[in-house]
Amino acid sequence: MRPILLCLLLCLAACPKLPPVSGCTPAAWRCSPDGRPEVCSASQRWEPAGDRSCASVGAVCVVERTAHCAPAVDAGADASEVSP
Amino acid sequence: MTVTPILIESALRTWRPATVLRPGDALHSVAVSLYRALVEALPAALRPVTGVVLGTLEDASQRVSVTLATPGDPVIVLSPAAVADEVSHACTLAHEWVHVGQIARVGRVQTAVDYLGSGELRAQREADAAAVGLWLRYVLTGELPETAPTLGDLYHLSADDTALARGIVQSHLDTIRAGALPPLDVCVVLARAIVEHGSHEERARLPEVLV
Repeated sequence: MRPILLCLLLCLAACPKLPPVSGCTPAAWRCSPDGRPEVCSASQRWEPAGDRSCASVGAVCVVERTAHCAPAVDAGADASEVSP
Repeated sequence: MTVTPILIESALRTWRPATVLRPGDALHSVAVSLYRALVEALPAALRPVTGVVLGTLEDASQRVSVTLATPGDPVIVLSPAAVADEVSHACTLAHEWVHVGQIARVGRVQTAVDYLGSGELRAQREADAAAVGLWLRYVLTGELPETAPTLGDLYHLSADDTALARGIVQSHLDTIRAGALPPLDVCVVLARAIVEHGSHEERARLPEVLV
């Protein structure tokens, strides 16, 4: 039993961590619920463009041709809101 | 150009420590020769995938820079092409530091497993890194491609993964063109340094929200 568990753990640890399959249409775009631009991969997973949300860089996520960040309309953010 | 590679490296090193090896450094040729040793040290079952990627790196070491996840800080090995001019030098450092951030975020082992075991994840991570290089080149020179370039054969991407990478880079290009900062940690770190040290022209290419 132990060797099997160990193998399973090693296998899990050694597997690429892909996002879950969502069934999206490949090459489709969306803004994620937390405001990140995402594109649908050929394996029907939502892959992010970037490693943080648009809001964290003082912008909003929009879908116009692609999903991307655009300046917030009210431009109310200042540099102090853009933090790592 | 007031934002020099030294300034870029200093700002990024403060954010995430890494060791940079340049051509001519004593350890540079040692690091390049390690690519082949890495392939041979890997389990046989992984070699068909990793051997192609890492073997290509050894062959292409004159023009390809890499970031290695080591037990200590990540090591960035810059190629001669990367340091051929100041802008390329700065942009390559920014590109490679995206990978340093990825290592910090998901861990050394998982980064390697993701990168070598999934073309989709390799495409996603290289696309983000490529976009940072394009963004910094835009800030330093004003040059911005209209459409996303295709990532080179180096990354061994399938047609589907190549398309994914192009899509992600295009998203970042659209962000830049819209007047926003690409949503990437490295861009945030560098934007702060450019606000503080950049020329008027360089600061003018940052989003208004920052300057």
